[in-house]
Amino acid sequence: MSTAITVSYSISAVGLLVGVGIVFALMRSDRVDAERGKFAWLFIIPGFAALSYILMAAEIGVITVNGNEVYLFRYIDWVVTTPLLVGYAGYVAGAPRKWVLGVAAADAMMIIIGLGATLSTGIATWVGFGVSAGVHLVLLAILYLVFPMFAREHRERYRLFKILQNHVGLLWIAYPVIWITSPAGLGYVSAVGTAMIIAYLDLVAKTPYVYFVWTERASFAVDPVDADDAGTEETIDADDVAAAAD
Amino acid sequence: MSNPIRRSYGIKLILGYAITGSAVTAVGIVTGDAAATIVMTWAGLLALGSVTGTNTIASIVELERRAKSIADGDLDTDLRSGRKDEFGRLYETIDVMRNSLSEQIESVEQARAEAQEEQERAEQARREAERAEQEATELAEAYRQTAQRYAQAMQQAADGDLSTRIDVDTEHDAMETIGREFNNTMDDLEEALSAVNAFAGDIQRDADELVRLTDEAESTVDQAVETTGDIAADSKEQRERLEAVAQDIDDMSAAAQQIAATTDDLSSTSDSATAASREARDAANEAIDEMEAIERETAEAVEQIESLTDSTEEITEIVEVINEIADQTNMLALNASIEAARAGGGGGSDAGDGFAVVADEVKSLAEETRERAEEISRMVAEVREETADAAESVRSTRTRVERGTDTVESALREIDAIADATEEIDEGIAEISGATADQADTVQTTAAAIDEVSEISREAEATAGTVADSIESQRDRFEAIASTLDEFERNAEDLVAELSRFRIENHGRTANSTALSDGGER
Repeated sequence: MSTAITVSYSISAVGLLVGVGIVFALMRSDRVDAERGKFAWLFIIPGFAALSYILMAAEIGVITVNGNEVYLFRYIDWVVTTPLLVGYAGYVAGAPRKWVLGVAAADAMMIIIGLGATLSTGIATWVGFGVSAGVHLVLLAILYLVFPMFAREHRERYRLFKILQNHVGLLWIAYPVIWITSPAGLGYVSAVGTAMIIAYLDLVAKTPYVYFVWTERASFAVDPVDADDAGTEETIDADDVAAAAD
Repeated sequence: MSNPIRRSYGIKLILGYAITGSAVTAVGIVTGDAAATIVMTWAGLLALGSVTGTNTIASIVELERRAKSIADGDLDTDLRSGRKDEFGRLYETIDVMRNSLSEQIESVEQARAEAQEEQERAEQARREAERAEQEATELAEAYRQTAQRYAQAMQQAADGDLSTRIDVDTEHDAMETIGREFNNTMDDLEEALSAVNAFAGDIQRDADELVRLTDEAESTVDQAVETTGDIAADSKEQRERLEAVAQDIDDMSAAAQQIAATTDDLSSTSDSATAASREARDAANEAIDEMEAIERETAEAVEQIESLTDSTEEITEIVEVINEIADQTNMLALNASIEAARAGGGGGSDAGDGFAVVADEVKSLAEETRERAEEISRMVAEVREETADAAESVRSTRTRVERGTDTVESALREIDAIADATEEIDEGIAEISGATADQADTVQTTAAAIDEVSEISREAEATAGTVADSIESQRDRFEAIASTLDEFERNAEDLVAELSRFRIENHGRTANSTALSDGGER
């Protein structure tokens, strides 16, 4: 494993820890209702990812399949955190519990199928990739067709939902493309390049996510009248996080 | 350093691009592979888009949605953003705009409500003004009707019907005061005129009585002395003067009618009532003065008549002396006849007879003297009786003059009251004052006439003196009336007593109302 990968994973781990700090600040703020915001779940997103990256930087859980090194914790991280990312967006939209759980389950299935495709060889790899991509499309459909119906009912959270929806929906398009160009797919991009790109994408997908919740925390204000005051609270800035991640 | 970054969207963008560029560069250098760099670049663009673009789109979409709801009139929508950069400020600005709009709409609605309220108030004021106008019109009509009614009554009064009274309008204070004061004025005027009437009638009757007494005295004195013919002539002149007095009083009546005529303009021209009533008061004061002058004159007349009585008392004393002389003469004649009888029996009967004849002659003369004196005494008694009657008449006149003065004084007080209460009818009172001045002149003329009466009384006194002189020349004849003079004196004292009692009764007596026109015709 190259030094570049280790450095990249370390930077991502640090950047994700900044995300943990943001969620911690959210939990500490007495201007917002932490229970209503379900911030405890947000902890897991940068927290579990940071833990995974630390483990990956330490080269723990690395297996070799078809001559390719596969970081298992990357997929474990994704199985845990990506359902939370899409499910929390559904929660913000005000979707019923079954939709939130359903979309999370679909996401987890997408990751697991993706992992299966990575671990498989030959045609099975592409079938798995196709199924996983199909589930991805289903996820996007729910995100853009189902959740907005509920989000319109919750005016105060609508903007946060739109941010999270676009953030997830847009950024995640990159992942299947990276997979195709990776050694597991067509092999256009080396393992080192793929690792650095994914480390960048994972950081950008998670720490800004919690930062957006922070900037829009007024959606979960204890008292809606004081919501403007909640926005003035000093906290860690996501751009600092991004700068640190570089 | 976080604040400047949070406050500027541009810095955020630059930072994002710098980080992404760094990542692309790192991948390119580490891998040395174009494909890896391209994929990284593509992924970086997606990441930038998802981090910055989606946020921007969300903010703009949200802004658009909120702006639309504001445009649709939902101004209660809260606008807030956790962002501190240009978007955050844009939110704040729009929120300020929303609040400003809300306030302006509120103020416009408030202004509209106030305008409506003002309009309602104006409408209310208009209705009140209309009602007030209607009330004023009704009030003016009521005043006009009352004034018309008053004017009719005043016209009747002006035409000479002094019994006319106004049916007082008690609904309006001013009209009630005018009506009541007019009625009071008419009451006073009527009372004053009837008192003057009664006074004139009394004077006339008294004058008649005086003329009658004078005539009787004249005829009596005619029988007694020749000089009483002057008394008759004077009495005639006195009667003529008294007729002139009656004529003057007639003029006074005409003046009073003129007063009544002037009340015609009382309703419309009443500006200087107070001044006029003051003039009226002055004129009435003059009348009172004149009446007091009359009173003084009549007092003088009484004194003169009383001095006449004193003169007759002197005559009575003289007649008494004559009587005594006749008695002594008689006694002397009796003694002479006794002496004559004694001389006739003792010596020369011729001388005794002749003495007796003289004594008889003297005795018969004394008898005749006593008879004449009794005759004079009877005549004097008659004269005293007539004089006492004249004195009584003059005293009665004086009493009535005093009552007339009281009446005029009472009228004066009423005029004062009118002056205080009705300044509005000043000018009418001014004309009344003018007429009252004429009346005063007439009273003055009356006073002058009565002066002449008193002069005539003085002449009568002088004539009585002449009578006394002629009677003195006949004192022999007065001897006969000496015995009756005592009784006459007692009768005179009784008469004085009777007169004093009569005066007290007189005060209680009410004046008889005699028509003024009757006095004028006589």
